[in-house]
Amino acid sequence: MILETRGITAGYGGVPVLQDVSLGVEPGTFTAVIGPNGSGKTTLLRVLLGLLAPTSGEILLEGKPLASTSRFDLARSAALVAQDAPPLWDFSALEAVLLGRHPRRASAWFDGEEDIAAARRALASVGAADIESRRVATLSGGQQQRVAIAAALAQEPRALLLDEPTANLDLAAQVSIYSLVRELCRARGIAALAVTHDVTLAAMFSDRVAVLVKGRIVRIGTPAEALTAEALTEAFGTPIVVTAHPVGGSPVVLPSPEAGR
Amino acid sequence: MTALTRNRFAFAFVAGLAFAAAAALIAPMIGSRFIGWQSVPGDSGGTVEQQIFHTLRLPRVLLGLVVGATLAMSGAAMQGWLRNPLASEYTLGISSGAAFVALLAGETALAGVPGGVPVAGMIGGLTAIGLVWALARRRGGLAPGDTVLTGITVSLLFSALTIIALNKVATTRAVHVVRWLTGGLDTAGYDALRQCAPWCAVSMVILMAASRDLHQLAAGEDLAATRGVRVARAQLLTLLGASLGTAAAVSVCGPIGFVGLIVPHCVRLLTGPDARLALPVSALAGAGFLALCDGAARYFSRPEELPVGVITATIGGPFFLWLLRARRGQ
Repeated sequence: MILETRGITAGYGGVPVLQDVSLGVEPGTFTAVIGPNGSGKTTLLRVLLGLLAPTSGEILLEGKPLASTSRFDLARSAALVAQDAPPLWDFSALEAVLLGRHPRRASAWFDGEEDIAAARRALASVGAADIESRRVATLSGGQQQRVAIAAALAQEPRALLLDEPTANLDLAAQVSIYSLVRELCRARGIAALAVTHDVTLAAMFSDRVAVLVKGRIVRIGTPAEALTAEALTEAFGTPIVVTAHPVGGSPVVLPSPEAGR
Repeated sequence: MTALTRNRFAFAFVAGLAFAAAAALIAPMIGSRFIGWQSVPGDSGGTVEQQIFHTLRLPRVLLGLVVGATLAMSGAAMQGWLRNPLASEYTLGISSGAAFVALLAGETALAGVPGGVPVAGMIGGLTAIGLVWALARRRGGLAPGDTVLTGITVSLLFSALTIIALNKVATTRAVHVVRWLTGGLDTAGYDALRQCAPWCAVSMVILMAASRDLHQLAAGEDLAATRGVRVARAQLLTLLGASLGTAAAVSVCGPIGFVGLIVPHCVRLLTGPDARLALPVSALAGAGFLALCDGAARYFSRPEELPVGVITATIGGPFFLWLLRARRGQ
């Protein structure tokens, strides 16, 4: 396990959002966390990244307690692809990716040859080598998300945590981002964890799905194991049908049109 | 390429330095009468021109350089901190908060204490920005639009308090205080410079130290934190640095508006958004800008002179409105 929680309870202002959550991410594995709004998905990411301290339970980074790890060391092990980060309109793509070099820079102040090379490698590995000097404001949503992932990769992390990586992206971009994340897991042994509402997409590309409801993990397993009609109907509180994808056979999760009547 | 390499930093820094140096050479010659550098040799005991040059112009230009650098760097830091080009030490109320408390301190027993007025001013500036922060804070950071609106409101509040305080000031002092409140560099000798320069220097060192983290904060508090930045510490340093510098400048020159708004904005058009570069270059450009504006203040209504705050506001007001419109277009 690169990063894992053991029996975590966490929340804001004394109200627990996560309760007794144990979840880990393993090298080379892509885990998706799904669940209704307010189920604690983003809070889980915040806890894993040390942005929110749990009220009880333990977080381990490569076997060591996260609480005794410095921000800097954590930044070399785990990177975030945020959902609602302020847009870096005036940055060039390369400049945005270089932000990720912060915990890795040899010089305290300047970007060195090594950093620029690493940022270029990161851009190349997300298939965005050709846009390095474009302003972020001129990029499409999918390209911006690739740049955000490249910035995370520039940290050279062992775990990659993504918050709603395909929100507001078109179908082609959604598929390409997910297949990119899976490829990064396979090729580099990165442990990826994405929290998402795109259940069907997550089922297509992830190795493992955890269903989070009201702060508890109610199911975890391969997409086929975790994503059953009964479990999802109960989790989301609306009738849900699960069928097999005509291509590849992964679960396709559909709400029922009769719900809400 | 936009990476901040050593060479790129050096190039931009030297360019900024050249601008500041050119302004420092030109500004002392401008005024109600032209005084060329060739008439300078000799000391303040010499001709009238030499006296003007040594006791009036030179200290004033130096003060303008220091104050301009400090205000511009503080403004750049505030814009980085809030990720909002409309933020500055002026539009966030730091200047008026500092002016109010510095006025109170200056008119009471604290006036004689070395450093008393600037430190009191800093407390005022911090109070103002603390108020703005408390009022505009949301989960996950400050809402940028609300913050500037709140800042301007807090600024108006402190201006009103200042007017009330002004009523209590003896009539003989009042003219002086009103002049100070308009924001001007009209001092004689090096006392004013001696009073504020050390604090300005400390402020700029603090802000330079924070600029690396400010650059990271462009991506938001969460991403900065996950990249190894100690966010609260960086924000606190930025606030302290900007408040200290602004207060030091205000306690001597009064609130000079818009320097911290115009200069960083124009600088970023040239340097790009990287705070590690934009902050020091803003300081150099701000130094030159204020020294030149003050030259203009001496020149345009000669033999009288305008407070430089009037000049910066005349340029800065329309500039601010233009920024507002440009932002709405985005």
